[in-house]
Amino acid sequence: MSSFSRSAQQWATFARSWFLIDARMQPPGKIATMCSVRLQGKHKPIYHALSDCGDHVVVINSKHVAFSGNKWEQKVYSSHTGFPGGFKQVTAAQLHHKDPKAVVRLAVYGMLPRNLHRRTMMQRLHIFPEDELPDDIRANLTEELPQPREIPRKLSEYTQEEIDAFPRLWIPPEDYKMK
Amino acid sequence: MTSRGTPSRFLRSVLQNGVGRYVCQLKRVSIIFSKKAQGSLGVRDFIEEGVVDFAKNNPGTVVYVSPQPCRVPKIVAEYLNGNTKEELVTNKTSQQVLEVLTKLTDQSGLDIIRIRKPFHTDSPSIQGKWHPFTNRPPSAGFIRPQNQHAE
Amino acid sequence: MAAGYMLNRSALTLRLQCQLVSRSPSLTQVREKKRWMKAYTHLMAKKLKLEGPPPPKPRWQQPNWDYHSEVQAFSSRLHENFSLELLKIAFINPCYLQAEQDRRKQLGVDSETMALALKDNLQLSEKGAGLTNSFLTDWCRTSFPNLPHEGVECIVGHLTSPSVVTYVARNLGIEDLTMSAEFPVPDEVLNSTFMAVIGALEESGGAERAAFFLRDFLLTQLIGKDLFDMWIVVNPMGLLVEELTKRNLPLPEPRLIRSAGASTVLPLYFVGLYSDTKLLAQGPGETLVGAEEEAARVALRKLYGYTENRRPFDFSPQQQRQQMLLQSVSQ
Repeated sequence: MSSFSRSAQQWATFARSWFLIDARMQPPGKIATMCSVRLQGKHKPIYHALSDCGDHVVVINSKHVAFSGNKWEQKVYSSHTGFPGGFKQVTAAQLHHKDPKAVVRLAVYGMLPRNLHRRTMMQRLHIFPEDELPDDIRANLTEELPQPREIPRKLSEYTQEEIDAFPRLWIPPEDYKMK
Repeated sequence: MTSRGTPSRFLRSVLQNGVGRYVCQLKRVSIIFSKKAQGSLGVRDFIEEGVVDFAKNNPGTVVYVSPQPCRVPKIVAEYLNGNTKEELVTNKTSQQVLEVLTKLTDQSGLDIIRIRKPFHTDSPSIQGKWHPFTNRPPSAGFIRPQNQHAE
Repeated sequence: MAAGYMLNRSALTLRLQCQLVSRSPSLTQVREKKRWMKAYTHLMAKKLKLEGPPPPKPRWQQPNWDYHSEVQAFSSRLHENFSLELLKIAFINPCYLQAEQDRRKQLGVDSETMALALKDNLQLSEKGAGLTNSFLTDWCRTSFPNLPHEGVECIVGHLTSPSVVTYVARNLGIEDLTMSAEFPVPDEVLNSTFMAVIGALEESGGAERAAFFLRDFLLTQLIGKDLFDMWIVVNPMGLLVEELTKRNLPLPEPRLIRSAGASTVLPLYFVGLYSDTKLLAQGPGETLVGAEEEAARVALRKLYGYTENRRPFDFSPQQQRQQMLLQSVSQ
């Protein structure tokens, strides 16, 4: 099987792929782990830290990313401008409003290894707030990764037959007052 | 010196030695020793007792015995790939000289420097080397977003 | 004064007699720092710098050399029973005979009284070359029955090319034993000597032994080599179309199977060749054209049976082979 010429085989083995992740209704942490694994190249059997084998990752719909719990109000992103009195603390909601790409970007940045390769790997991460992609990036894509979290359906997205077919737990008596 | 400063080579055999038939790589051994000096005592004993047996056991190697006035007795081994190795055998016993000769017989003539990997293969893969598309099922349909329908 | 003069003279003669008589090195040796050593080493270093290193000397001109034992050792090292006269003839080249005759003429030796009783290795060399070519062609045809004529010729040509044969000859110790006019021995001379050795082996041991020798030393050079390293094919797609028409199969149709990074400077394309919706082969490449060519090459390798996962060549030793043959015959 696959008896390629030596140069062609090497080119194929070390080529970079482009992955697409849709972040709609996904927790940014789970998105970020998937991104960081693929940016480092750890999903490849030929991984070595020195051999620059990371791939490109394109994240779309980062504006529609969904924190679980109360993190939009409770999670705080801190930074310091370097000047005295320049310690800034912003909640996740404020940061997301100012820059819809920042949450995913900072999450991935924190999950990459703390070495000089980190900046190069961040350059290979492409985040888009909405569905739109430039044509050249769309031409590069090789695979779309499945979303880490299954999006639960709203009640309005269920058809009437499904709602009727759902088993009732108990039937209330006629004079029962529903709140 | 560090391994980067010293020369190194990959593991290989001369002319794919064991694959077809095994050829003993030692072609000629010259034993240079002195007839009277005290350092060549072991070599002289070896030449009395063991050299004929050694030559009979290795018919593919020519053994030259050359007594010369010299301070330091040597064994010069020449290999099929052209390399020469000199071993000094001053003050060694006859048994030790035999051990040195067996060591030289078993070596191939390649340089004794750092070997980068302790393995080598000419057919590294039978099922095919990995590339990003092995074990990746083809995606059914286009990769989203194909049209700007959900904005 | 006369007594002093006589004393001096006697002392002088005594010392002279001492020098003449005493042969043991300890009385005449001078162990101090020699005053002439520095100047001498400087002169020799200057001479080396001017003229360069001395030319290499052939092994028979260096100490410790016995031709007959070397030839015997050569024969037993390779586990073969050469007839030694044939082997010695095989090592003698015509250029050496010419040089010898010229040297004898220069020294004034009469060629009638002292004839040069040495024979050439030209006949043996031709025999050996013929045997090598026929054996290698037969072996290629049996191992790769689907390989066309040009492919077989290219493989045999590569194995009998001067570079491969001289590499094998140098690593078998033939260079020391060759008698040739120049040193270092030129490639063609070494080539013909190797063929002459094959011819001598055929005459002493039979064609079968020579075949095993060639298998063990020339065919092992094929290990790790790819078909298209030896056979340079400029248009693999055209060749593939010819092959498929010969076998009456539909013509190949290239389709893009996978692509990665199409708009970058490092793209990867996988192109598959389909003959009538059945996949023949797929190959990777930097550009679409390159990937298609690679796919054609992979398809050709599969057709000719020269893939990476083919059954490896049989290098089992002769006795094992004979045993296996006997077993299969008895069954």
